Amino acid sequence: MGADPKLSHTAAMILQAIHAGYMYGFSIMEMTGLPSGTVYPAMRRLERDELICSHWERQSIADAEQRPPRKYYKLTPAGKTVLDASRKRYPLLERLIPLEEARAQ
Amino acid sequence: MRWCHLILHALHLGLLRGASLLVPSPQRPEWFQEWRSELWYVRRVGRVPRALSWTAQREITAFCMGAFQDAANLWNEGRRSRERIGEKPVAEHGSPARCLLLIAALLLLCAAIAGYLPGIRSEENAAQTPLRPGVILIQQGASGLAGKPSISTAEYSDWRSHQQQFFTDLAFYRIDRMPVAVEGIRESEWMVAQASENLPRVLGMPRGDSNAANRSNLPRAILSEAAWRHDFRSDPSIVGQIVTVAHRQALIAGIAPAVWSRMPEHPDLWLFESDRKLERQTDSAQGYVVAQLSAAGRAQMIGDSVEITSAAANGNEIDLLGLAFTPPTSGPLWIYLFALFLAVLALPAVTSVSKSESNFTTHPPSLRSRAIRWSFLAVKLILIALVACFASLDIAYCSFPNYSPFAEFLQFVAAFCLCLFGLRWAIADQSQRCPVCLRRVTHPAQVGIASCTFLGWNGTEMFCAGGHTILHVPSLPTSWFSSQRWIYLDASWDFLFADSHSQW
Repeated sequence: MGADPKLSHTAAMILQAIHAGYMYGFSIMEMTGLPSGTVYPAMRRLERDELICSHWERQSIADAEQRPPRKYYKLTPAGKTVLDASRKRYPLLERLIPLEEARAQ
Repeated sequence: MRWCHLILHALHLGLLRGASLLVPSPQRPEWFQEWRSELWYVRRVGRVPRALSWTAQREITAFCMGAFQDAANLWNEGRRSRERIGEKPVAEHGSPARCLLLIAALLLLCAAIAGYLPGIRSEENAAQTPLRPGVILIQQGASGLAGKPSISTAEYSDWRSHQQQFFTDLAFYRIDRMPVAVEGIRESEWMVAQASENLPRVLGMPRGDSNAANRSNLPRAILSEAAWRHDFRSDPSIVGQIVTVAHRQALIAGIAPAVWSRMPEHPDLWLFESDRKLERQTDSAQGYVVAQLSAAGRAQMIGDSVEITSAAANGNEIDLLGLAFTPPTSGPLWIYLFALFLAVLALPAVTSVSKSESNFTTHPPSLRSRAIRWSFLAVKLILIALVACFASLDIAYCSFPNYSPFAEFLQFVAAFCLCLFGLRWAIADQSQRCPVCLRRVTHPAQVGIASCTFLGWNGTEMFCAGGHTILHVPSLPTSWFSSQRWIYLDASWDFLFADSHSQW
């Protein structure tokens, strides 16, 4: 899929959150303040459109920390292109979810 | 507290599991795993050590409810993609999960309606507070006058003053329309029963007077259950308040048991007064006498009635009739269980309970498949029985806001019919489900000619959309083909069935 400049604000926020380092559903919910009924369906659509891709955390890592494994999401090259286009459309996106905040955590 | 956490966790997992049923089966395991994993992290954030935070639990529940939106979204996408390629949703067609979900949804609907109907609670109350055995209603003349007031206050007083052989106690009441005012309720005309003070004792009402009623010198009044529910919205704090009946004050001492609605004329309010006061009022006013039969009196009963002869003041004999109140049933549950028992007995008369013949020699079903098949049938039967239970109550009490013997009868008839035909449907449905995947067989095709029955096979063929089996149903049972047969399809048929491996 090519760059789609008409991505909704919600989808753009989720892309920005993933880009900022919030890599699983619940952390994206916490960062964006969006409910689960919005975040997960939006991530499914973004994955279907190949803007993000997902992978499961290795079981051994989760076992070592005594927690269930997480499903992580990351941006694809197409997703990065669309996010760049969306930032032009929504200039406040970067201020809402800055990269530094994610890195600081 | 730990139990609360466990129950709530099970509830949340149940919500996720319920939502997962909407997700197309190939995606379902991963989808559920992701949501379950996320739930663990949500719970960890929301957990308050050694305390149950309802705010946190509400947020966790809201998180789980989002799973339904996600699942519905995936379900819609799956449907749209199937429509795009012109494929019919065979995986869902007649699937056992969908069948159980539909019955469960129907059950929830019926249970919700039953919870809303006040008549059902009234019937339960009637079963819990039955009338004392041996209580009869005395009236003059033949049974044609049943339900009409026919005994005057003077006659009642006369009987009370004499030693009675057949009665241990007598009570009186008469009905009048009177203006009634209670604080917060607009004054209106009610059917008020002016009754002797011993009426509750004769009827066997348990003494539950409030402290306020014991302290007050005002006459006591009891609200009918119907008036309490209708006019006071079942507000228990009404007990102990003052009611003004025809410019006289009385204290509301309680709510009449539901079974009192059997008394003639169904008064809204029972006002209890001493015999002297009743006598002071018009002697000629006619009412009803309720009597408690002695052992000798009960021996005189013929069926539900007893003929009584009384001597009037002028020496003439008066013929009276004592009618027993119909004994109350044991409540809605027992009515339903009895109807279910009869329906199970009658079931073999309306359906073939024997299982169909199956060609199991080459493809014997595994123990697991058989266990799943029987479990599915058992769950379906239980759900149908529960639907019949609640639906029969809904049917009986949708037009009866209070306890009524007719509603009980209606509940019994409805429960019997629903159980009988519901169980019949469940068994018939089971006989048309593939033994491998439990989907309903589909695409019926007529095979053979009826006129050639004795030369070749004639009947209907249906196949499992998963490509596991074909069902042959003979049009005319013969000695060599008397009931339906399952034929298993081997792997060579797989190319015809795109989703032959997906089950449920």
